[in-house]
Amino acid sequence: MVHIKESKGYGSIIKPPISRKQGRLPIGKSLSKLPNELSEMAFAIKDSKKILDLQEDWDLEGALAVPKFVWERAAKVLSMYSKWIWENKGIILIAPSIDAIADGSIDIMWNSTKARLLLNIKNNQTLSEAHYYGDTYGGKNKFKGVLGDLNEVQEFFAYWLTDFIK
Amino acid sequence: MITAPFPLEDVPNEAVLYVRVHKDKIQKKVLQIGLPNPGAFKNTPEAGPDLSSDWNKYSTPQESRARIGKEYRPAKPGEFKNPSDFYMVSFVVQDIYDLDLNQQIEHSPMQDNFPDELEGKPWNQSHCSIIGDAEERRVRMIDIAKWEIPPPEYQ
Repeated sequence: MVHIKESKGYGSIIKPPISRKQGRLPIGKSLSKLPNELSEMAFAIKDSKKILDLQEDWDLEGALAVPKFVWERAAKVLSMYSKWIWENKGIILIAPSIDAIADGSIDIMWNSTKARLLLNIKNNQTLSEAHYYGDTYGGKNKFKGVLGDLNEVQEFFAYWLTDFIK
Repeated sequence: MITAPFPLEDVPNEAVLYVRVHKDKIQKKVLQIGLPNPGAFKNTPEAGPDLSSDWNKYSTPQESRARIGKEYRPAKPGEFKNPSDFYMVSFVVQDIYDLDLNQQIEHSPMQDNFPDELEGKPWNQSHCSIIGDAEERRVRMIDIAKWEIPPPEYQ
């Protein structure tokens, strides 16, 4: 278990033993083919593309359709973080649940026996950001905030994700 | 015959609220399988940051579910929702407050076009709003939700 602190977001609150420079991943490259070790993640991302088939009002309650740019951001985030964690830590991130939300955003949810983490990719064309909330269940050891830049790996967030490995 | 608008009441802490869960908002992954997913507790875009619920003083889970079938789909007026596409969970009001997320619960009975009830917009004296929206709420509501009408495959 990593050390967890509550965060208002944006800032790196945990300093893992990896450099910021290593954490950068150029835009576009993250969508390149994932290594074979990450085939489960690749399948989950590919399978989640069916979210784009959902029509407006898919939940009968007026839900918005998920715009393509939102799914692409979600796919990119998953590709980028899983690849970075594999390349830098040598561990495999488990495939999360990837679900459409009524406001046209996408939820990415990881659960392990000891922790859980929700990352919501916002439906906002001009502002590429995601809100996250994690805990060790029951509201203990909360970890929440905003990922303000989805185009590069945020080390503190990658570090948290190492709780969700195969 | 209802001859006056429904009065607004205080919702006591021991009250139970019923919330509908669409069939596509059920978790299918190991560890959480069969539980509502966090998206179940995100409100619809039109209604703002409130989560609709029905108070057990005026409704049962079965009545709440049946009422869904009297509502028009927002995007397709004239077409009714299918209640069998929804399941029901319950929350105790005190449990919601105990999450300590500054959520408010307000009685907000629905009685559009009183004294004439409109087709597709059924009156609902039990309607309450759970006010306050955030990722944390959506996750932690799962912890305190109890199935009243669960998906049959997870019973």
